[in-house]
Amino acid sequence: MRLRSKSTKAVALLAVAIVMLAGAAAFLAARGGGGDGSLYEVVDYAGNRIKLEEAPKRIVTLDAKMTEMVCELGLTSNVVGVTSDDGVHDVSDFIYGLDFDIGYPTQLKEQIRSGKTALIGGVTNWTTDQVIKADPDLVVFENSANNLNKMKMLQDMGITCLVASNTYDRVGVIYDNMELLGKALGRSDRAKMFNDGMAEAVEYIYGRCKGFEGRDVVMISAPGGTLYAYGSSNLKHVVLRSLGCTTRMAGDATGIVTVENVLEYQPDVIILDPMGKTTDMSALKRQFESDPLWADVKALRGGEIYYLEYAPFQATGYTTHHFVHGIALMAAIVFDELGVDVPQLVEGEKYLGYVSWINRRD
Amino acid sequence: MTNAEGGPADAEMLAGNTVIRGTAHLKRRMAAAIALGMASMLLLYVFSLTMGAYSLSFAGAWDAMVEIIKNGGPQSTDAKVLFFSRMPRSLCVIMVGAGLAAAGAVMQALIRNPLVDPYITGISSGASFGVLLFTIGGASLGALVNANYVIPVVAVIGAIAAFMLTMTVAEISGGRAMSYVLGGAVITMGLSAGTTLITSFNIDELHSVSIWLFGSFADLRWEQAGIIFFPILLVLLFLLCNARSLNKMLLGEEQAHSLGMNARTYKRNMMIVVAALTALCVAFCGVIGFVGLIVPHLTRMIVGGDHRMLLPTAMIVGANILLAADIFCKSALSYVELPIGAIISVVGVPLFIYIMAKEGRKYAM
Repeated sequence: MRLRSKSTKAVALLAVAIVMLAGAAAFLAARGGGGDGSLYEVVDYAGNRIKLEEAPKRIVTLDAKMTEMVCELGLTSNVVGVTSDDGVHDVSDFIYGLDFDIGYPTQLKEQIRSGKTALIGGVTNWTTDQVIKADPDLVVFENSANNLNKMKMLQDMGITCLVASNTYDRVGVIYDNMELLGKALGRSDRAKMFNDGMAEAVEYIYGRCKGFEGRDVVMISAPGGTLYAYGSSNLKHVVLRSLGCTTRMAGDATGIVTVENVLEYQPDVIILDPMGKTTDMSALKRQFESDPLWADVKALRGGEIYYLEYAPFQATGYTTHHFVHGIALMAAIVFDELGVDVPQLVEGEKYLGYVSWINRRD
Repeated sequence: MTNAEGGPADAEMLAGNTVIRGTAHLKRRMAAAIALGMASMLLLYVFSLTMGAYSLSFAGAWDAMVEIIKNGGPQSTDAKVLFFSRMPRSLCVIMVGAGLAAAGAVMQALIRNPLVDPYITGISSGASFGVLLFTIGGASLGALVNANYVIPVVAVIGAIAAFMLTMTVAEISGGRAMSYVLGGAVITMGLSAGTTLITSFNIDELHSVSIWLFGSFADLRWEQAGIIFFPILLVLLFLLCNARSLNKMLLGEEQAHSLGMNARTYKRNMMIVVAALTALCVAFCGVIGFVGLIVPHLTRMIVGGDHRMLLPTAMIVGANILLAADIFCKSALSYVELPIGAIISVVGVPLFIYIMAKEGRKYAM
């Protein structure tokens, strides 16, 4: 009887402990969804000192990259307004190398369709009226002159604004933005989980490429057939250099170039993207292959010009955790040693097949 | 008020000044200007063949030229760069420079206002707007047809449509010289707003149309040169043949009518020709302002207002100025090209202000 009584007490204590733990977990989940739940004071990239009293229930994000990060933090259902860059929202719903189920952009698209999430203009032409109409607790956007001009009015209306960095001169800026959002939104643990996952995937890519002979690469966009070489400080070129490549043809800033520039520098590898949806990259490939001047380009003769369609272009130009795909794709293109057979015309979603190698981690 | 052949005596005549002098000294000046202009154009053309992102010395360019002539075509990379890239590009620049200058001079005569040009009257913007609509809105069409042939057509349609609008606005507001300037300004603003609207809804396509907004001769080839060269040449010859009639137009529609011209019809037809000429000029290189405005002025200072002298000289001067600007744009920075539209405007704005301050009061606005 005593034993039974002791046993009953122990079970009862255990049950109470479990209920308390479950309650605490539920409370934390409600606040932080896997994070530590603490809302830290942060100083954002516009110098705003922000300390939220409670986790925001209504968030407006004015840049698709910020939208993705907020969604990755588990707050998709709290997003009540986004800008209408549906092309940028149209990325893959998963990221190789990061084994997390992010549900982005599917869930967000569904919310937009149902009207739960409003479209707040375009990324450059959103208005403060549209934002105010969405009645947000918090507005998240990147640091740009256009955004900062409108920020003051939002702040005067009592709306808290959180400004992320837009100077993507190193991969670490993606981590910095995620960390900032995580701290401000009470999801530090989840932000760290994503950042650690991405850092590990990036580390894996660098590790696999270590020792490979660096090549001279240039990334060029060809919207409407006009060629623009990305500047040397562009993140794509920064990554290529960190992989051991050179980017001799890249100037200080992105600018118009011609085939003469390509002939002058004769890079080993040329990666072309459309910088938009309308350029037909297969037509561009045919055009270059029949052009007598391009015929003298070493990379063309060696089959080392790669034409990225819109989806793979997003992978290399979309500075969120999806950028893991961009790094993996660039590495797969540049280094034959990786054994990934990337065709010259990198079509649509097929590019995912050329980046899946980063999942083969031991 | 006119000389023996029916044209105004000199630049002062154009300005409404009653002082009349003979034309012999102006003819001598024209001959000198054309001779010098042709010589400098030839030099600049040769110079332009050696300038660009790809390193090609004068000796290298000479060897490449010899190779092209000897073999009937280019074989080495040097010769290919020379033949496929630089020769057609510089030829395009010359034709566009001459075309824009002539378009400006003719427009100034027809409207009798030396402060107008195809840019100010909305024609360039109309052509550019047409190309923009095609590039963004007609992307699927672009896949079906050769854009090289469609672009000049949509540019001409856009230019003529814009010009018709400007003409309508100008005519219903009295048809005075100033009406054309204001009408053009309004239409240009409208087209600019349309351009902004279209690009704001297609922000990721902005770069694909920026070439027409900023102006550039980058990567023009024989294919494009062939398309614009002969039509522009024909229009220029046509304008030269019309120099005497343009002189009559300077006297005003009533005076021209008394000299046997159907001035109104002539003016309308010539404006359409100018719109088409401008459209051909901007079709592949985008909007380039001020050449049509500044060059006729500079030329008028040298050879006076008689279009028999003004037009050929303006064509040569326009070609020289644009060729020099293009050489600068493609060689100022080693890794990228500068947009020629912007560079011309940087030089053109202070020049225009100077001309306005100096000459503006002379003209009835």
